[in-house]
Amino acid sequence: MRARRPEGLTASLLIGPATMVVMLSLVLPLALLARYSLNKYDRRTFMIEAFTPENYLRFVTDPFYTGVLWTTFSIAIVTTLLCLILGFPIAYKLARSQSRWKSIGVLLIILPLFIGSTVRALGWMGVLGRGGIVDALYGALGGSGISLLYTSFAVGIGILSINLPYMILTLQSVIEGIDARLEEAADSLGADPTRRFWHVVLPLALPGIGTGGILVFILAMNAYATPFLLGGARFQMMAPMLYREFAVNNNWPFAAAIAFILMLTTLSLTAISGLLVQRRYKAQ
Amino acid sequence: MTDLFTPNRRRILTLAAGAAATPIFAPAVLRAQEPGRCVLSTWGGDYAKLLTQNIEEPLLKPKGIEVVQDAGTEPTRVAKSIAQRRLPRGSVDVICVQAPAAYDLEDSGMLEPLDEGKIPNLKYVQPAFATPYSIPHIYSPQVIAYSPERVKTPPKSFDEMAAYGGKVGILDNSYIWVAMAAALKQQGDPGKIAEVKGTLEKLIKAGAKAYTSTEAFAPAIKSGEIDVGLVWHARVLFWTKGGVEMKSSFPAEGCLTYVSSMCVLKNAPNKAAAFAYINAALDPRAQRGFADSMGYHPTITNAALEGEVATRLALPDGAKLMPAPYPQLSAVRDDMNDWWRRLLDRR
Repeated sequence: MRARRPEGLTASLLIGPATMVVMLSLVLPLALLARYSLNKYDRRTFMIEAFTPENYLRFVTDPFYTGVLWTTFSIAIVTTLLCLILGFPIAYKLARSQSRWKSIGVLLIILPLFIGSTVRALGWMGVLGRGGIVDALYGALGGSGISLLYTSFAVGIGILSINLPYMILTLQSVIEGIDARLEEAADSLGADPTRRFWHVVLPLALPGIGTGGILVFILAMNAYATPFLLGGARFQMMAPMLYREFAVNNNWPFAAAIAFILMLTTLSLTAISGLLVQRRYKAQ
Repeated sequence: MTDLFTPNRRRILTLAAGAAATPIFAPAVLRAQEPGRCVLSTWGGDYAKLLTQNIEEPLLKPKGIEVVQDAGTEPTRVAKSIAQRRLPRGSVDVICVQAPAAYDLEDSGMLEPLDEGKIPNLKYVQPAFATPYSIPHIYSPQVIAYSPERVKTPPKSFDEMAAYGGKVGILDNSYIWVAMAAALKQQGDPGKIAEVKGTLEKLIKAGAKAYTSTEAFAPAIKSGEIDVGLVWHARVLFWTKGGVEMKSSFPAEGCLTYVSSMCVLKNAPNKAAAFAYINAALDPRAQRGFADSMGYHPTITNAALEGEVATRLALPDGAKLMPAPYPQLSAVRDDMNDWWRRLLDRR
């Protein structure tokens, strides 16, 4: 007991500075933001000290804003599911691959992450916009002009392309941790591939699916550049709306309230899904 | 090697103490400014570069005035100034904003009044754009840009342009200028902004395109997505220079005018330098420089353009230019912004 005490002290001294940095750079601004969200907006003086829930009420009682939250949520859920469906086979193939091309495959997945999301959104604009590749192909096939830009499809595909690598990389590392002999055992006991997948691979990969899902879900909920560039003026998502309230309308109190609503929604959904995965995992 | 930097406890503590103390001394360092320093709050990019080339280097540097640019978007810079308004000494001397924002700053009582005693060049400012609290730095009329390839008879009024319906392009960030142009034509008063909601609604329902970035307008004209739209004349000149087939038509009812203003804040730390800056901005040499490179018109009467620039920027006979109705604009802007967002979302 006596011998452990200085050790604990050293440990807390060592984690002290890092904790301070996190406290100062994360918790303080959040606390300030929370305070701002209770203030009132005024065009002339910019912000009036107050203690009112008005900004939150304005959001939750207005179908326009709740609609934007709903759109954001739907886009995030759809892209997360698509990431999972498209990402799992790739991740599985990569994880189980013995080929010397494996590292090239991993590199190909990582490569898009070297390019910023804005640049990739601009790339999609070239593909989907009027006079773009899709338009030109459609025209060559006899169609007359098609512009997929500024639609939810464009935003969805943009976010999917950005988030997919995160999902694949997370799943790959988890699948690699699953002993391949378990699958062989399932085979030898007569399970067909479908049964092997549903009863052996999937349950064991569930924590990875949970982590990857949460990661890409959070990224999609907070996407800014993609919905801004590919969705245009008519497609509303939370992050661009938050930015507009903050930096264009200069309405900091309302922007702070939107930020908290977005953050709380994302956090609670993440917590719920985390709990569900955990419970399911324990049940196995 | 290890002797050179051994991160022992004392050294780390010293470093940490130094780092922690920096913010405490920073204001003192900032306050100790040399007498000839002027802090200019401005947009970044080309505008800031041209300010350096045409005003700061040739006109202020010889006078011993060193200019520091604080570049950023307009709302951010305005927010910063408002946040500093209670301080006896702010951090900015001159602020560059669009004329409507200058009106708002004046309305909040934050601007230093300007007169010829402080700024001798003020006497040359074109009366239409003069205000007692700011100078018009450059201006550009709002025109109907059209594709000469597809539009054979150029639209001569807002209504003729609006008739193009789904082929009209609107810049999202200046939609309210489109509303004012509609009000000018239909209500005879550009200040009756809220009264033309129906017109804008009809336009959006007809499929008019809204672009979030100004740059998206030119490719849209080029690709045939749109045929017409209201933009600044300077933009049309800029895009034409870049090889896009585009022409300007000046609406018969008149053109609202984009004015980029400069103002001195009441708590400017160096007002003398601020006045010198503003005076230099109204210098004919500086004004011609902006006309040549950006296609914006001089705001003073003694900077007649010559040669190719004069031909390029020439306004047609009878073009009626007018400033926006700033007080009315300011009164309805927040409500209009909210309304516009919803209108776009409805689809």
